[in-house]
Amino acid sequence: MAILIDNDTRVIFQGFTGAQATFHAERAIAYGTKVVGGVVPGKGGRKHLGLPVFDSVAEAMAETGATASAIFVPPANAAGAMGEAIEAELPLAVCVTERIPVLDMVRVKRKLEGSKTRLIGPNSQGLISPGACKIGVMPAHLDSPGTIGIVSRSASLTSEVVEQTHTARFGQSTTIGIGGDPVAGMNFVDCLELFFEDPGTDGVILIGEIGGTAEEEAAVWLAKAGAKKPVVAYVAGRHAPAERRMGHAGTVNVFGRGGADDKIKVLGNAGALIAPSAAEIGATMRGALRRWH
Amino acid sequence: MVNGAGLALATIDLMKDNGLEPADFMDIRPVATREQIATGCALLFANPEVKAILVNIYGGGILRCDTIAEGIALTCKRQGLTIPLVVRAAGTNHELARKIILDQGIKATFVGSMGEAVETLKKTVKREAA
Repeated sequence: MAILIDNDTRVIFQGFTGAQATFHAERAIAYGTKVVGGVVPGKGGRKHLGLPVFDSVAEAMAETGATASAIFVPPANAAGAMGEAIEAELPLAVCVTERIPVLDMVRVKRKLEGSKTRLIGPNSQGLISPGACKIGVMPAHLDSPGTIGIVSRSASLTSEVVEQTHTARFGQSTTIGIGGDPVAGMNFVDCLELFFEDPGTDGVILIGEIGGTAEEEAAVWLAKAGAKKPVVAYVAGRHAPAERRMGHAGTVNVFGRGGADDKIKVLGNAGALIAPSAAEIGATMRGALRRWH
Repeated sequence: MVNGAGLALATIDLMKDNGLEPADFMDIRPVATREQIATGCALLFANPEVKAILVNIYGGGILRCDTIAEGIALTCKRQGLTIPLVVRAAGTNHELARKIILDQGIKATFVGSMGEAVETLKKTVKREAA
């Protein structure tokens, strides 16, 4: 079992004919993802990788029955691509693009309100339900079907945690990168809710980092909902210098807010188990599952 | 030297918790070429505060371990390596990365995990100081 994507997910690529989209579409197809076509305005009617190209998301959905899109559109046009997916009521849009203007994302967020679309990203590595479907740019060699849900703000740390859950023989139900940008689609709470409802997920690993309030919001929700399953949390950046942006646009601690220690404290108080270091996330989950049963 | 913001933060945390002080920090972006990585390495090597180098990389879909290894090897060949180099390479093409560095005759210690990397670095730095 998995959340958001599975064997039946039909995927289109927005910005299909670009170099990165082409590369990752080929890899997704090789992985077994049902890629059914792509969208590039002005290139409708052509074929790319043997698949049809459409002028619009609505047209692609009507012709292919697409249920999800992978957005590989450059920053200046990415908000437009997301807006198009929302207007066409595509169930899931995954945006990989980094460096989208924040104000563009504010407008996209407004469009998402009350819409039928779930957005993952931007600045996300994507998501994967091992053995079934992969939408994004992550390496997939250690992703194995299993019972741990992973939700993360960091792509590189996700790889690390995937390896640890693989080595511990848990595997993953679904691994989601919610992205490193300050304004994004799905957050930790949205993903925790889905993982708690998923009978195929036994435990959830939450990987946060400094900056923003996503971890604090997750803690408030978790305290209220109660940890129905073990939640292991790791927040990167306890020793990060203040007021310096650490790689991601959203990874910055200013005016004493957004620090890792506070995030760890509230998550711990809310019932999450805190992994002492990035090297011990898999081990913490193993201990948590043992105690749980 | 790492590739990725989260991995960078996590590596700093693990080092500090083990009494190691990061002197310089290099985050390699996914689209970096081996020449750009070599230029970055040269800056790291040139920093007198740097007593040892820890490479903690996770080869992904775009930036693979072998590209990073070639960058490191280029710098070592250009100017020589005078300080300890501890490498933890995982993910895409990590074995190839090891081969590239060893084939160039570069003295590096390869480790299997982040935890092991920091332990090795601790021992190395202690030995150098003695």
